[in-house]
Amino acid sequence: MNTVKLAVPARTEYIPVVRSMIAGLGALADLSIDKVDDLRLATTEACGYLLAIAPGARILHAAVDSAPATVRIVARVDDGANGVRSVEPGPALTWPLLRALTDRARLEWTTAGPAIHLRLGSAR
Amino acid sequence: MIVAAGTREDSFTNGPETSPAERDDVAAELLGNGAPDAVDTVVRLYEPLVKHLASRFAHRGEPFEDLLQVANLALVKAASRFDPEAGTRFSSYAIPTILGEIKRHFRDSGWSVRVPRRLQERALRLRGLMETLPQRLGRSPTVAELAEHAGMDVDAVLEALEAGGTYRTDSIDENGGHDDALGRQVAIEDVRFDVIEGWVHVAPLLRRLPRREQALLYLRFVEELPQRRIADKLGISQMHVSRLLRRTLEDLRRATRP
Repeated sequence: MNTVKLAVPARTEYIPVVRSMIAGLGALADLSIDKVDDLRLATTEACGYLLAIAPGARILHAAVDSAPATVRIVARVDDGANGVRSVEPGPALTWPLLRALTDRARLEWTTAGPAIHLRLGSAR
Repeated sequence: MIVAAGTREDSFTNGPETSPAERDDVAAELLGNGAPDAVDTVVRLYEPLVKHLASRFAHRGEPFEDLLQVANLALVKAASRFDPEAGTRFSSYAIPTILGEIKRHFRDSGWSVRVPRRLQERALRLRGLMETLPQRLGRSPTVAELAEHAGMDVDAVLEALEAGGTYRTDSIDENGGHDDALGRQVAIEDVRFDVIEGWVHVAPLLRRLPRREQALLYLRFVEELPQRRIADKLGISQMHVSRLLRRTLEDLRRATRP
């Protein structure tokens, strides 16, 4: 299992940077092009969701574990000066999409801020 | 005054007091005199014509504002080059120029984002392989397999696939409307996102999408068909499915952005 971490400013224009890294790692994990495309969509959705629920966040972190045929992603933002108390303002589209695109998608609340965990493998 | 038979393009409204022929006379006079603000005045005078021509190309995948801009620039070009001594009506000269520029815009913007030719060529090469390779392998190829068959390295494939997502594969005539054949093929009228668990909250948003886009979202995210199966089902390429999904999700994100 190889872990790659990336931290970028918590702004939407940096999402493509995270997406490219994750797509590259998906290719290294030997996922099919379908799955790499799903990874791209899921990354965009998860990162966009985090930025929407934590508008005061400063840093967007992405940690990716890749193994043959499986990729696990943890995307996280610090909760910034505004604090995050609820997921209600987040786009409602996110969860149906993430559930369809990945094997597992869950939101976790940590003291450092909200995080989304995704797992995608080639078995589906 | 020269009065010529009106063309279809002449039929736009420009107020009750100015006929197309009169407007052409005014334009010829202004441009013939070479007044410093002649071009500006002519551009204002022909604004309804520009809108009318641009609207003929609306709903073909390009934002209307972009089409208007292209048409306006073409009008400026026509006004700058028009020679009143040649005996041609200004509208007869300007209309083909404007239509030509709009069509050229569609040709050039086959790549909705300006993509280097090197990437366009790679993406087109991959598009062919993505049609044939799944059939040979009986599954979707990995990026490494695609790279090997294309004679590229993995980096180049990833870069080209990213660029490929911006390529408009639908011709402007093929998919002119929203409720096109793709939507009808999957009987989307039977789909009710509002009764599907998890989709209830976004159903009102999805109902505003064209049927084709609703169909794609339904097949991909509710039926959870892989892109290749959707492509087979709808008789379009996998890259086309990928591009449509990305574009639709982008539109939805924009629509839900606070």
